[in-house]
Amino acid sequence: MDDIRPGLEGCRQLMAREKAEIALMRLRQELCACRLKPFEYDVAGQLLAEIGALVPAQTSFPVFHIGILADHTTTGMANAIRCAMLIEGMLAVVYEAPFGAVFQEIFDGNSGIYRKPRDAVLIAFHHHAIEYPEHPLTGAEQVEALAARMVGRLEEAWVALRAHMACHVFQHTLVPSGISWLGAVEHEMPASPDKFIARINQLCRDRAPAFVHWVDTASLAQRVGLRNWHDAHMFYYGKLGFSSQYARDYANVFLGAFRAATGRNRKCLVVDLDNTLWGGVVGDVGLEDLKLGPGTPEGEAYENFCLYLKNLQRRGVMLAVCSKNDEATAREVFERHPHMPLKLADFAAFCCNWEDKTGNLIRLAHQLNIDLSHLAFADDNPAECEWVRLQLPDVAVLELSGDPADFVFRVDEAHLFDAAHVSREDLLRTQSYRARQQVEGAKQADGNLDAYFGDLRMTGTCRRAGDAEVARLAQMEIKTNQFNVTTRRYNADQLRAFLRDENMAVFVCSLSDRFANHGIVSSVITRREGKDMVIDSWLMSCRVFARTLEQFIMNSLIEFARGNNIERIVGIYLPTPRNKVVKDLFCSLGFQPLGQEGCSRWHHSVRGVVAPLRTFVQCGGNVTP
Amino acid sequence: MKEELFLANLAKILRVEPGSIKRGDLLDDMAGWDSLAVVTFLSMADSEFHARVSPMAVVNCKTVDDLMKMVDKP
Repeated sequence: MDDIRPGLEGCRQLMAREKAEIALMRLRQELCACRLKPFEYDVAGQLLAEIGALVPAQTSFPVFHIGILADHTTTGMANAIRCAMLIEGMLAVVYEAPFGAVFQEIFDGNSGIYRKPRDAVLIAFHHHAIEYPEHPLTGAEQVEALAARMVGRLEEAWVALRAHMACHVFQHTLVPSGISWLGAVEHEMPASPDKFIARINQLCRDRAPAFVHWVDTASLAQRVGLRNWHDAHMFYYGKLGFSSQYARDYANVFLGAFRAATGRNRKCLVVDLDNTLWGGVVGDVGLEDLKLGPGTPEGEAYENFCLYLKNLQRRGVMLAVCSKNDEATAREVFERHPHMPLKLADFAAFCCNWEDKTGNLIRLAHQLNIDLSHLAFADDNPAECEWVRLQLPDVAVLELSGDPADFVFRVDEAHLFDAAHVSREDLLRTQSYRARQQVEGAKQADGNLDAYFGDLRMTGTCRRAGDAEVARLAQMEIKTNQFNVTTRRYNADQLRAFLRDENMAVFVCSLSDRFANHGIVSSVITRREGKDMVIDSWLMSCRVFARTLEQFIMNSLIEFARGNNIERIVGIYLPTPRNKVVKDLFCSLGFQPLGQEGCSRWHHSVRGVVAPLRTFVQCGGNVTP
Repeated sequence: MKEELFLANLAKILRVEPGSIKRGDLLDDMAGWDSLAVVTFLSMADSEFHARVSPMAVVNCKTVDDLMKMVDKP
């Protein structure tokens, strides 16, 4: 294998030698390190299409089936998506529907899009193909009616698509043309083309069902410049929707939407310190001579970057430190530097030592009880970045070398933290994870579990969910992998339907302790089958499990069952590679085995006297009958 | 213009061995020279050689040499 050339060419050589797995791993490294040039995305995409068509089963990469429906050429988009999914560790198999046949494909149940099950369908329109108001002076009412008609048609299409196939629906926002009729007073004209497009985008967002996720091409195009995005030559030559110069940017935006839709967005950004959060090495130059704050261009840029990170933390992304440094010296910058906006309390974990960073990242993930695939790591040192990429391919690596003025954009443009929804619990995340560490510390120091649980002063609630909790429930459904007994993943529309189904009961459970109010941390969905109450789904945040909240919730469910003429509760465990932690959950809660056929089923009688399970969680709210 | 870089990039686009393409080669004889290759070539010319080339001008090229002239214009 010594004769394998570097880069994309080496991947092609490996493919020629039927080494698809190694070719994919190499190509993933190239993509993750942003080493491919924009034109190489098309070349890489073609290579991935060959692998996807010939040997998907011979690789360990999970296959992601996506269909693209567009009114313009989809080749570049498909190639960018193939590259994007490989960055995420998946092999995309793409179906490109016939040019311009968006609605025909959706409304015809025998069309190509339905011939195979798809994980997702992407819909994209170009501004050239939409029906604009006929005359520049068309009045506001007619313009509104036209926009509503177009969005109504799209709404029907989303619903029809979803009725045929249970898949994620991704929708491009419409990109404005950038052409004006009146110049600076364009906004005064109701039929202005770009105002019309903005209105359609707004109506779409207002009316889209929860299963529609946005690929915000309009924002991307405005960021890179509409004139650059719409390559007019390429549009008229090959009906390309956007310039292939932006293949990488498009891949990142698509990935942001994909991660948000599937709960694969990163939970924690782990940062290096020297020359990442400030200029200079604090151990060498001391606190006073760091470049941070006014006085130098770099200092201002670093301060602004830290402020950006602080806001990222405020909206629910955890921050952690992983740095080769003396811990006391490093901490001092956050405690004493007048221009450091970040404080120690902003970090969920702080790891400074002289050990290998990959080991530290594994420890950090363990400490926070999250998967490595939830971590992003930012460092100025290219060698450290490459080492982490090679050793821990699931960790997203952001190389922040060069001018710190670019750092905010590099983190932002990676779309690692895009969210479908921000819940109150997201905003409490850092506080909650810090509390978890304090709890773990107390557990280790004490050794006496009863004393430690008692000292936590935990209060819980378990009550029937209402519409107000649907967004948080849907978020937990896509994000919870470990404590998830069936991993059935219901979306907001399905959850709303459960709330209205008299055979179903949906419970939300919250927890607070002396360290933090964790908010809603668990949900249970039950279905009545005769005299049985079947636990269809039970999820719990990894921040709080194994603290006797499980027992508290089961006591509440038993109380509910007894009040509703139920004779037994049935629990199901469907194993996945990531939910082993709940393998023995029902057994530990006093359930008896019922059988095993691909899943394990358990039952618990609630007739007669049922002794409550021992819990240290005090009741702060009752189950609604 | 760096001829070596140009030919190496063209080989990537056509998905052939680096070094197998020569300046006088006819584009019509190359299996990989299709409409997607034209699009990828335009992107490469722009990002690697800062040359904004018209798609129709590229379509009218007959040889590798003609393509090189597209990106080598002052």
